[in-house]
Amino acid sequence: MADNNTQAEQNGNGYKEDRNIGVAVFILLIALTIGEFFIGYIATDWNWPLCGIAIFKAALIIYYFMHVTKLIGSSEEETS
Amino acid sequence: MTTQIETHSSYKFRSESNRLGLWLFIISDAFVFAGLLVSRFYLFQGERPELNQILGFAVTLVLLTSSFFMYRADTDIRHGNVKGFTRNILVTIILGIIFLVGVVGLEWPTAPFSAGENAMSSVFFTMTGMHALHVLTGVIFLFIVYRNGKRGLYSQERHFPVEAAAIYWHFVDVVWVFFYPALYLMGVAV
Repeated sequence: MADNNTQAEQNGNGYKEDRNIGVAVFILLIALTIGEFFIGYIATDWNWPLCGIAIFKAALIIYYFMHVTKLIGSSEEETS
Repeated sequence: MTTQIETHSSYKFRSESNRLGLWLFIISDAFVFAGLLVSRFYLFQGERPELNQILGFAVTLVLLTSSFFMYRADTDIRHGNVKGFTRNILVTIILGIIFLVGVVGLEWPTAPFSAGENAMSSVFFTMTGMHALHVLTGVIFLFIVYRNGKRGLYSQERHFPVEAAAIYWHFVDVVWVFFYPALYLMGVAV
């Protein structure tokens, strides 16, 4: 298990950075969801803030998790 | 000529073509969910069904967590950590099943209406049902990828099916990111 991680760190550039980005985005998503829950709880007519949060969360997932930039030829490496 | 054939049959070229096709599918599928979302706002107006708030919040957290583990699985295989990939994809599958149980097994039976009762109930069951069907498809897709991963079919260099499964799974998550506030949070509970 530890060997695998070490191997991955040696093989891939930015393995740790990639994992850290995942953790940061995940924490942000959870925080925003908790915020949504309380907004929905205290105010039933705050639709626009809820829409804004949903769009921001979706953008985070699409950009960081779905790697949409690969589609338009980014700097992300791809081994052939 | 030979070079051209080799280029077009390379794994990178095929992956790029497949990726484009996958995104076209995702975009077309997104229109189905967008239509459902629009019908929810048209039919519910300023109201929403009285649903179990804690359960809705919990299943949302479960799906977001599954997306995180899917990201880790994708990252692991991209960096050659096959063991980490199989472990994380297994966690994703389990969380996907928990989400399904939460929505179909717990939310549906306790919903304050039956499927064909009124427009609101029809929209609610169509939205959650359509989404649950996509989650079920995703779980099956992930299980196939997990099984192939255990058989050693993916490596740091060749892993497009893992990327495809990850994109599909995150898409299902994005849909729920919009469905959760639309169904559980916006409007006055009736």
